[in-house]
Amino acid sequence: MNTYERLALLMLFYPAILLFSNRLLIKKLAPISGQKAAVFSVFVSSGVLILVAAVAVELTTALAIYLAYASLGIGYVYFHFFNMSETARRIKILTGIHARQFVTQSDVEAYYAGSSALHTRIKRLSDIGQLRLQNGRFQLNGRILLRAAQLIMVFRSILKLNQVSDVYHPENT
Amino acid sequence: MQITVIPLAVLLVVLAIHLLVWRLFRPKNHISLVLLLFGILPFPLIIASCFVFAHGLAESILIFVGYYALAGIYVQTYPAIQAFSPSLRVILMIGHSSHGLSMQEIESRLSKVNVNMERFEDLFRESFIKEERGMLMLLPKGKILARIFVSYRNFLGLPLGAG
Repeated sequence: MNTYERLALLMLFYPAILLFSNRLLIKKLAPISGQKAAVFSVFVSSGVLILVAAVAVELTTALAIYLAYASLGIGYVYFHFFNMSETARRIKILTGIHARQFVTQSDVEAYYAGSSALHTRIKRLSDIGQLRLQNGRFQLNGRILLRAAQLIMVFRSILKLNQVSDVYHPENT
Repeated sequence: MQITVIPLAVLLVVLAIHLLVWRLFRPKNHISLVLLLFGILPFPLIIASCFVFAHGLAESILIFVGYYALAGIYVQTYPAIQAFSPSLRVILMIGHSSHGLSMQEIESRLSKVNVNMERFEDLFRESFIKEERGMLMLLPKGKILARIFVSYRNFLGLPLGAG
């Protein structure tokens, strides 16, 4: 097998490595939050991939750049895929209908009308260290998600999507 | 070198088309169009480039993997851009407040925006679900997606996500 064939084989196996390492980490590190386990599995798997590639493939600068962006890209996609399974509302509604948790529209309305969905989100943000409760008020504990949210607002304006007015002018709502 | 550059070049072309289409036409079926644009449209483009540069099978696979890894970053981020998740709303609200927010304040501000039901309507508009005699039903696209995520959570040994 030449360099390209070995690298192609590695890249094709990489998603499977991610999937199995995530399953393993969820079991071994329980009761760790699912999102943290997914992040760890991305780091562990990309580390394994880069180590194996360094040994098995003759890496030129161009191939090293390729390996860096392709492995980061697949890792990012995997993390978001996990996140979708955990937090996405559209996926929740689809799987809820599939599991007969939501039979009618009012089931969906009742699920999201209550504050439990919001409490779940606040707990999740606290669990991953982005929020902290101080004197009965939630404060930001890190800036990563804030920067991500601000970046998303920039993308929304580039794509001419509707403004999200409640976050920029909360006092007026 | 071509293995590194071609995926980036194809992505830039697709991003330019995406930007143009969104700014000019403001499409309604966001998700289907993003999948078509980033998933299917580049396929013949990459095949053509593999023929032009006479790449072998392994090199062609690397070009495909490289492109879809890069496109996947954008495709996976797009729903967060389009739907703007309540978690990010909460982060921005708190980030823009001077002394943080209480749970009651977060609840009252979020309750004024019917963000969850907007996502529900997206599923009807994009033909993932339908309502028949008052009952919600999955359409083929929705059924496939639901099965993928249910199987995935089962494989990880986790219950279904809370949404």
